Amino acid sequence: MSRLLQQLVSAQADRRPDAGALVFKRERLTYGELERASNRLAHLLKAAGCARGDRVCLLTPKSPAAIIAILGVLKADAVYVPLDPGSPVPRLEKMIASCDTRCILASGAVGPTVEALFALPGFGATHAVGWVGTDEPPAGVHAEFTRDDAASQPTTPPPSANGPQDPAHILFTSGSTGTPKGVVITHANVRAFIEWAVGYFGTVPTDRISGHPPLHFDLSTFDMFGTFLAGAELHLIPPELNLLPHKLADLIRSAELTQWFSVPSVLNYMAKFDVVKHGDFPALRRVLWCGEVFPTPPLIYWMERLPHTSFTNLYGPTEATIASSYYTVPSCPSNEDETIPIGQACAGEELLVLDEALQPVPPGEVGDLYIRGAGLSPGYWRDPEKTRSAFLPYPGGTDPGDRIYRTGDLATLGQDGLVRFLGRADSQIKTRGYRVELGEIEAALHALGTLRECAVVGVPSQDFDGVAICCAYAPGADADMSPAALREALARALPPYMLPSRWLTFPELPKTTNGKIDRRRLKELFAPDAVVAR
Amino acid sequence: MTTTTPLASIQAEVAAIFARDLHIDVPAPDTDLLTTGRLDSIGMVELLLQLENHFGVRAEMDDLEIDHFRSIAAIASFITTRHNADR
Repeated sequence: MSRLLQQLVSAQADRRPDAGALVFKRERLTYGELERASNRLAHLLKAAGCARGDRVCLLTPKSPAAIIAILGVLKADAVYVPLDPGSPVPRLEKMIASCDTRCILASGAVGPTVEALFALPGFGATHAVGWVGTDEPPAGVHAEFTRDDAASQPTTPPPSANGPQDPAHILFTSGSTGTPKGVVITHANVRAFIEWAVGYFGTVPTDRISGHPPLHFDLSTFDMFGTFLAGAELHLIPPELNLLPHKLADLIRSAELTQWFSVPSVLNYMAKFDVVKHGDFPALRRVLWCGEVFPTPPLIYWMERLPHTSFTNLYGPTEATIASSYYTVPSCPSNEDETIPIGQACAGEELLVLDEALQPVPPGEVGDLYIRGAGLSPGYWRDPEKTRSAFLPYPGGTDPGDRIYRTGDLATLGQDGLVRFLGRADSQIKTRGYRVELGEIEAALHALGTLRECAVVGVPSQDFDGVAICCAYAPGADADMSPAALREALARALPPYMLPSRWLTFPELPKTTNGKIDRRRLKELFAPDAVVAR
Repeated sequence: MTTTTPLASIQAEVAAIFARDLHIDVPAPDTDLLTTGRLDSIGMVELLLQLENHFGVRAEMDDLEIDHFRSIAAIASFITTRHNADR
């Protein structure tokens, strides 16, 4: 029985070493190759001083090298921390420092980022880079070891002392005060979801599964470990294809994918450019989405064209691991105004709609959505205060390990037993599936020190990105500060998906009668008809 | 013989579209727009619209390749090729 995530690959490599595990562009790896390469890297990591429970940061764009790195870290009984290679250096530094990590594994076009990190005072003395790409490390990267050093290492797995309750990875999410929060996820957390999912969806070894989200996004753990549990083949989607929807459609067609899983904005983008034909993708058995609401009109577009495919909405925050509830749309909605429920809890999970006193609200009434069950993270990395405020004891429970997670989402539980999502109780938004705290953007704007006033609001977008991030500001001494210049300055502090797409300049921001910035008024001013996007 | 707009001036106009319509500063014509995350799918929609407005380039999605959008220089060459093809 494979209790740990990396053992899913070992089990497949034992039984079917020559079966395909991974495809990316022209690269293909079998389970046997994946197993041997990751075992070698694990030995190398241990030889380099990586101990059980150590955090190993990954600056590795999605690729076979990155998947080998993830498995290698897990096989060394360490914890992988996938960082967004597109994130600016100061933000990366915060995350690396918070993990108290020594080893960083890198590959791909991250040379300038690694160089900039190691140029920071004291960074080089306390950190080391292992280059895991198949190519030579870039000139400015001084790697402690490279993939060549792994070649002489044993191909069998090193001994492991980890158990299912040990952390497998830490994922950073946007924090409202400007500092990203690290969510600790255990092997058992991921196992609980993938076992339900592989059973529910009937995943089999002949499945060809998309790997669309980047590796710092928790949905990627379902793609990887769900595929490995089923012994199927994972097809990593090159991120640049996201610009051209017809290329995504070409890939689904030519790779004969049987499962597509992404954030809704990608499906919406493909619908907008009408790249799906009637009866297209004959091999595609299921389309899944998660991360935000999928508007019903593009869902109808997809369902009308693919009558042979099932469509499932998954819901759940990172803190509850991948997804906690599901709803398979029984038939193509007849009405564009129909809302798609987030459905019912996956096995081992429970969705609770509670009032302020943590008592269940009557069916049909709005309450706060809480999650209880096997997916719940142990908490935020080295932040007991934030952990205590988000993870509460189960009301009336006797076991101190019995907890509920406050999602911050508002929901209703219908008479039909299905939960429906109604919005947020705070200023967190979802844009293209990314979870963004507007407060983190405002904190970064204030830190620039060039604006007299600023406010960031989320406005529902007529486009496919869900919610548009809108920035209103009053310039300071430099009265000519253009949106483009401000965006560029902000890009040095925030990843691209957190940058506002709509801008308005004011001599002074509109205020409410009690002198606060009038965010409601700003939202009206940013409404789709009021301004041109971007 | 027809006069053609020099590549440099097309590049300048594309850079102006990025700054004015997409609110994106691009430091140099060869800056990689994709690996630096400057151009995403939202920007792409606006870009295609503006290329049509400014240059009369109406691109069929099926003809577009990733490499056409890798940099301002690449976009300018793509526009030039399209103009010549349409002539």
